[in-house]
Amino acid sequence: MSSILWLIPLLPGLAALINGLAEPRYIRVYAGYLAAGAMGLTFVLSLALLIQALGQGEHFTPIDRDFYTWMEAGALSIPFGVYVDQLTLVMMMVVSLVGTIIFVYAMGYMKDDPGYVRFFTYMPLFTFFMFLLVMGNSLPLLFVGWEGVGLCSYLLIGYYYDRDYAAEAGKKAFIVNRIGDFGFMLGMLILFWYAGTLKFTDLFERAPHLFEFGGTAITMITLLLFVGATGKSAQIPLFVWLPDAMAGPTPVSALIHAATMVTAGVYMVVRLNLLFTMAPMTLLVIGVIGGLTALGAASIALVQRDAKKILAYSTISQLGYMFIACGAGAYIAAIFHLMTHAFFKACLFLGAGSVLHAFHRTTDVDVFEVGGLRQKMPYTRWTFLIATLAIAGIPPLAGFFSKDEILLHSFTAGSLVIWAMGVAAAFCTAFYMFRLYNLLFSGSFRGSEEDWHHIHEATPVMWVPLAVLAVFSLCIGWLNMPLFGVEGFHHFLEPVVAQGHQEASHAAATNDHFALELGLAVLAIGIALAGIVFARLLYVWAPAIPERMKQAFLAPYTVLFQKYQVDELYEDAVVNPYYRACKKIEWVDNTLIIGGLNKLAEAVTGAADRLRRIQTGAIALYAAATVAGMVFLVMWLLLWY
Amino acid sequence: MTPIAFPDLAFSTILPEGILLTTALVILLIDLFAPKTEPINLTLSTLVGIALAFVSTQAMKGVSELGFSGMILRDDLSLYLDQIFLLGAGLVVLLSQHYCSRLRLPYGEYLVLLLFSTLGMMVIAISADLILLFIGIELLSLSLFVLTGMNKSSLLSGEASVKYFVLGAFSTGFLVYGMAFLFGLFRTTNLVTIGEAIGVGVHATPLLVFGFALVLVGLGFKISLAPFHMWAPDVYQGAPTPITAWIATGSKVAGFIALVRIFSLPGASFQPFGELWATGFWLLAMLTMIIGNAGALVQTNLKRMLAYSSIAHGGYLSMAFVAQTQLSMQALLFYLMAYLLMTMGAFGVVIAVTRKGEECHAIADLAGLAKAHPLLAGLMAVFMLALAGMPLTVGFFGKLWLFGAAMQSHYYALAIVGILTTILSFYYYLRVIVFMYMKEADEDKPFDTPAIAPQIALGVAAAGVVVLGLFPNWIWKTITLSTGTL
Repeated sequence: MSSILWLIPLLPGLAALINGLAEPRYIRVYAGYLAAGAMGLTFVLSLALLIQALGQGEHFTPIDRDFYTWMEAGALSIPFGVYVDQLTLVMMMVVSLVGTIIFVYAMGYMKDDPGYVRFFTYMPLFTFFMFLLVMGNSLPLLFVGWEGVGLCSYLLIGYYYDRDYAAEAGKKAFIVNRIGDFGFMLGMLILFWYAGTLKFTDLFERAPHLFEFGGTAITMITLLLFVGATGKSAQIPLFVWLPDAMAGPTPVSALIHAATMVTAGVYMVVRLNLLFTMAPMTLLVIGVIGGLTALGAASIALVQRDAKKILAYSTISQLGYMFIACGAGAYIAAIFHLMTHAFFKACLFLGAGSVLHAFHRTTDVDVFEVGGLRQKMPYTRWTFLIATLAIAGIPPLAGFFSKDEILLHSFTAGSLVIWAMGVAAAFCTAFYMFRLYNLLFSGSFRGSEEDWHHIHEATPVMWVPLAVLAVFSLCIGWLNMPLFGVEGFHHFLEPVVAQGHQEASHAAATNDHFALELGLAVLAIGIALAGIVFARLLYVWAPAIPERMKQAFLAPYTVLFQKYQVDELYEDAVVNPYYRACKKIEWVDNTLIIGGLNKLAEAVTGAADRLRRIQTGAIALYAAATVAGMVFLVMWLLLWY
Repeated sequence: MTPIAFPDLAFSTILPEGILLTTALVILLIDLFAPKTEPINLTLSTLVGIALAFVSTQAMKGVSELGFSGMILRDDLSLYLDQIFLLGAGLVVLLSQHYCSRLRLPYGEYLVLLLFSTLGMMVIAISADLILLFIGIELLSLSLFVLTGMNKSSLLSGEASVKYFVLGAFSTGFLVYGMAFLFGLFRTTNLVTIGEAIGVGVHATPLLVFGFALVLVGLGFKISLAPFHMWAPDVYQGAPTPITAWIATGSKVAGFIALVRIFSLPGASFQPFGELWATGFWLLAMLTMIIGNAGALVQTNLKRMLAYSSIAHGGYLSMAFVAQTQLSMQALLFYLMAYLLMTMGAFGVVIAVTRKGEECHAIADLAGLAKAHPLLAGLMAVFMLALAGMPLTVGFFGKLWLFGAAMQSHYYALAIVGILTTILSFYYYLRVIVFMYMKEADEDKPFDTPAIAPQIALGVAAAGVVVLGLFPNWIWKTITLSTGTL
């Protein structure tokens, strides 16, 4: 089985290659099937691997296979190979399963788009890089995947390249990520400086002896790596690109900007949990950033009017939760939430996409111009409701289990402030999600008569994927139910973090605090219910209240609506000064460098032109030149002799 | 009465050469007795012969022996070189058939001469004796003189042939004169013996310097090192294009091999002469890189531009003789293969692309090729980028190692000039790409549909350029093994 591992990234890569190179007119009919088929196959392969691993149980050992040496320079030797352990398996399952579902959905959603083939070139290419990211057995390989998914993200955000905002959003995502990547690369380099290797297995082996627990070196390295994660996973301060990224087609938002790519930062932290655990300072920073992001993004989501923007802020907020978990050393809880989130957030995005599709738009539907869709779009409504309940944290849906576990861990880890931020964010989550749900599906339609007339339920190719995702949103949390005293998911992933002693002690601690666990769970449910009821009250039972509240709290409302003005702040503090500096440098470039180069080029071509005149074609001249050359050469040699 | 001892000739050492010679004779006979034979059959028979010779070189891997009373040195290095030559000859044959029928060149004779020239190159590769070396060079040169003038209907072709012949004969004079000096000094023409003599330090006289300098001039002409390069642009422009490709690649590689055989004498210690040769090559390499690149810069004619590009590459390649390390020799041998593939490919596109039956002489004639024949334009782009030395192509590693070897031996000025002229070269290589991709085609002269065989040759060359660019270790290993004898 492990011998065909390489097929998993290769299949979508091949699909991308074929779709990208073939003549669009001919491949159009097959492009979607090809891409979705390749994804389906990778899912089957991943599943087979998982089953094999589960079958081996305790005897499963991580697969570490080098295919060939990718580069070699002095002490640096980077193999091209895969590392598959339990964590990789979980990530592969998430990517391949959610990917397959979304690809199928996209075949319906993108059906009439003129760029259909281009779409199905970039999407499998993205999954190729995503698999590389999660399967690579060294940091540089992970980084190749990391940059590759960044590239595809850029291409797909700017998919509607003829619209300015999409092109701008693509650029923004790319540039903001570049800042994070700079940190990541620095971290990687310093790590290599100390450890002399970037291969995971070697790192895990050497790191405990190399670094002093809590020392400066390890703290610096992990902090820099985390800077990379804040870029890719849209955390404070680099989160600003993700809301804009919604300019891409909705399946892209679902797959890349909710389920998979943006979780790469979390994956990276968990993959290197051994290093991060050795740097308590970094963990604290991660926890605080995660908490701030979770609450901040959730609060912005409270008042937004664009369905996809709301979901984007929700994603940022949920990613914040995952980092809260990482900060508390609860890496498995982070991955667990990553997985459940992938399903319910994909479901939400695709549901929103279904609504957009009904409106024949690609972005930008003001939720206050919708309403009452439950009558016309029953499938979308029910699946959306399930996913909304899941993200709000209502048992027994997926989000309850994973979020509850994160809050529990942050509570027992002793960081009560972070825990409080998490709880507050949970309330906001329940509120803004049900606000969105109510505005979309409850009440009556607030748009034009004509729009209402056009609205229709999605075709099966779109609602079946929705239903599948809804089922997963419902059930996936049960994986970690403490059945027979064993938390299955936790148990499966335990070997990945076994080295993190902290985690083990936490697990022990939680077993003793069953009462605490129960109390916290009840509190969480209560808060979620409060949020739901509050949203119901404001947007269904008494729709006049929100407007009055808005007037009463105009100042805080404006701050939230304008997203804390972070974009404007960056614009003034970084972008504009940078532009002004560039303008000055441009002058230097234009006059001195380019001007100088032009002069130089003129001189060179002038000289070459004069040289050409020697080339008259006369044999005698050529022979004379030969003789002259010979004489000169002999003299030259004798001179040195 | 003692029987006359028949010297052990060890015919097995020249198996590939024998196969090639047989092929040439067979083609000659076919052409004589069955002149109506379809050209495609001649092509196929020639290719079969070349393939057989190639297989035999592969089978002989690992030998190292002297034959014919020490005149022939058959080692892995010569086998590797034979393979370069055979590969090149095969590509030229693929590029030629269609071209010859278009211009009504006598195809049978053409092939025979082509095979003889290949044979000359292979003889150079196995020479361990100055006489044999000279025979190889002359066999190669004489064949090429005739081939250059093969297009009797073209004035340019005739002029090129005469020019090539006169100047070639002139330079041969230097070569023979130099060899005579060497013979006078050492009383032998055997390179191994000469090498050992130099190694122990005898005959370290200015006369030796003079002899080697004359040989250098003679061979410098063959590989068109400045200032002995002036024939090249005129001849390259006038000769039938496949022959131009063959002169630019095969003949130049052979010239370098002759230099390798003479200047890296088996058993010779480079001291005290190593530094002296280094100074000589330093000067020639410098001049050649600058003049070659500067000349290419102002050309509007495609074949002339490639001629200057080929001169410039001769300069890069000569750096190996300056650095004189194991690495530099390996880099030279690697870059020879790379150079053959890239240059052959570039000329191959010139052969394959015609507009209304006419060759594209001017660079501007390639305008709009990307739209008409995206495949050919793509291949040309690959060859141009490779010649310029872009990473991911074979040209990058060749330059990297050559410059790196020069740096290692502390010839910084040389390496820097190499790098600067390489940067300069991007201008004229990329200009071709600009014309192909960014300019509109002239509607009056539509592109013709290219023939199949040249496209196969181009495909092979491009595959080599890319694959060796990604996995240079492939032949690097062979080279490392074969340079053990140097």
